[in-house]
Amino acid sequence: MRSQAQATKASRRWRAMLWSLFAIIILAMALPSIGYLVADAAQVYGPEREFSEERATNPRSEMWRDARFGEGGFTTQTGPYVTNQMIANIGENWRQVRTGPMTTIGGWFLIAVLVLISLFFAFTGRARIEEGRSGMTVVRWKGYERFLHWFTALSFIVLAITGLSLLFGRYVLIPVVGHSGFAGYAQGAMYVHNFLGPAFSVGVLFMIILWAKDNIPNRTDLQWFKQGGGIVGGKHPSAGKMNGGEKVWFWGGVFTLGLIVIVSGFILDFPNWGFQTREIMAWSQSIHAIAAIIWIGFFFGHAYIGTLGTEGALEGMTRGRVDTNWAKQHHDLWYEDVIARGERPVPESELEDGKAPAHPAGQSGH
Amino acid sequence: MPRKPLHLLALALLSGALAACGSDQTTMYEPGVYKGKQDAAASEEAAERRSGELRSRAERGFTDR
Amino acid sequence: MARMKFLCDAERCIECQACVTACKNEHEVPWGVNRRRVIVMNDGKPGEKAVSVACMHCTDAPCAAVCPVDCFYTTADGIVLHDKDLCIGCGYCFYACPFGAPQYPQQSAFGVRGKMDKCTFCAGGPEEVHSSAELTKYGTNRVEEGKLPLCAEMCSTKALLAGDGDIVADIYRKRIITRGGRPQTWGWEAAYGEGV
Repeated sequence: MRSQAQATKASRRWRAMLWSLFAIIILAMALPSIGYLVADAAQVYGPEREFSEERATNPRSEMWRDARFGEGGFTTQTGPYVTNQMIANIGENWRQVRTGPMTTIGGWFLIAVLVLISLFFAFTGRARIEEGRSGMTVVRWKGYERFLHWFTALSFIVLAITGLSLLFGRYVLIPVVGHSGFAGYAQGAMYVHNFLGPAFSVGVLFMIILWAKDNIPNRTDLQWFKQGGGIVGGKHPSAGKMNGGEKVWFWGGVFTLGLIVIVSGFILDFPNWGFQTREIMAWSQSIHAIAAIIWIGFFFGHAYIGTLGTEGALEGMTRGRVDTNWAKQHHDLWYEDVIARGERPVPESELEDGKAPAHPAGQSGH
Repeated sequence: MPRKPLHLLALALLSGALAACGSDQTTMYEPGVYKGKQDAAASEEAAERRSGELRSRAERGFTDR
Repeated sequence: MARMKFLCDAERCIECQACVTACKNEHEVPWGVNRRRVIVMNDGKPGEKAVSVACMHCTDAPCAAVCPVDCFYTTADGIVLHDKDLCIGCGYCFYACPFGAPQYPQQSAFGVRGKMDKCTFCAGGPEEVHSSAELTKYGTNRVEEGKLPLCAEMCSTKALLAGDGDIVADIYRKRIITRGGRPQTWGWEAAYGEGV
């Protein structure tokens, strides 16, 4: 009973304290304002006030402030690059980003990715086909899919080299080849980049449309990630046609970064559309470059896993057929599917003899 | 790595040529000082020479009479 | 060392566009390329002010900082010039410049722009002085002759000042002192109400 009375007392004291604190804050703000009630507000702020040189503001100050913040004026000059803006603030901000974090962090990021991949390769080595080659092959990628992949891949590499040259060439290539040498190369690189970009975009869009159905995430991928794609724990996790890592590359790389790079790239590539102000261009350039650098870093990982990192993976994209043991190891669910669909594995020897294999077309590239 | 001796030779020549570009003795074309027609010291001297002329011209031209 | 600067006295500029015309004529600048332009703030309203804007020859020029081929350089006179032989027409200097000074002859699909062109402070470019190459690429070289930019020299109200930053600042400061507390420039609205 006594403790309950004490508790109510304590809570009342707390409430009183809070209320008085509240009152102090309110009064501290309100009391100084009483001056406004005593003095005539119109006399202080109104237009009737007595003119005095000290109190007067520069009538033009507003105008110059607006100009400083990018307000437009009127100009009779005409031309595609004539602006009515006296001062555009975006330029200096963009310059800070481009010559600052975009080149420094971006450059070190790409180098770090390459170093990490090399270290990974040095320590773990190549992921072998555990049971060795069976000598039997199944179709993994059809001819048109391989064409699409290599068209997009090659243009990606060319675009990456030319794009990185334009960003880093001033710091890396000019000291080596000199100003006029680099300018000649950069002129070509810019045109290659500008003309190849739209073609590459078409490839990426086709990839998104054609391969989205194989990349829908499901429960198997969770298990795949838990085992780190086979790095954690001895057993290789199950996967359908695309494993969890490939799905991350598809949705994170091709889909998200791809669309960002494509949209910003088209804005930069077609100034003749006319809606691109300097603000839009500077933003697009920043977004384009940053997204592309991340994408290139991502691509290093994709290229490593697809070629050096995994035995038997590249041939799926070059000649379109993979070894059945590779399929069982890396894409077991997909392999079961293929067999269930009634595809008959074809021996290597039959392929090399030039006999027409059961399914696909071209044997190019291997 | 290329295996044919001719390829090796070409690679060596190419890397040598590229390395020579970085040498101090190679005349590089740089903006402002390139093409052998201008150099920094000369343009500085010229700027010094005409600075008095430009100064008096600005004072004559822009001050109110 | 001198640092050449432009300064436009907005209280004097009468928006006659003579600086624009003089520049175009002196350097034979093609259609659509404007090395100098006049911007009118609050056009058509009482108190409108015009300013003639061109390359400001920044000490720390953003155009030079972002150029992928590093084609900009600052002369001994403190004039920012560029090399059209190196320029690849990427448009970056136009995005970086606060004053919209860099111009290009074209604006077409796939980012084809041609070589950048901008105010040279009538100081030519990286070619032999008074050569035809200099004339066709960069325009005339008046500074070499000991003359200041034509736009400023022929300004009828002496609104546009050009020259070493120290001298330009000196002249402008004297003007401000002479102008003093005239109500036309300072406190006009407070004295007579708005819109008078």
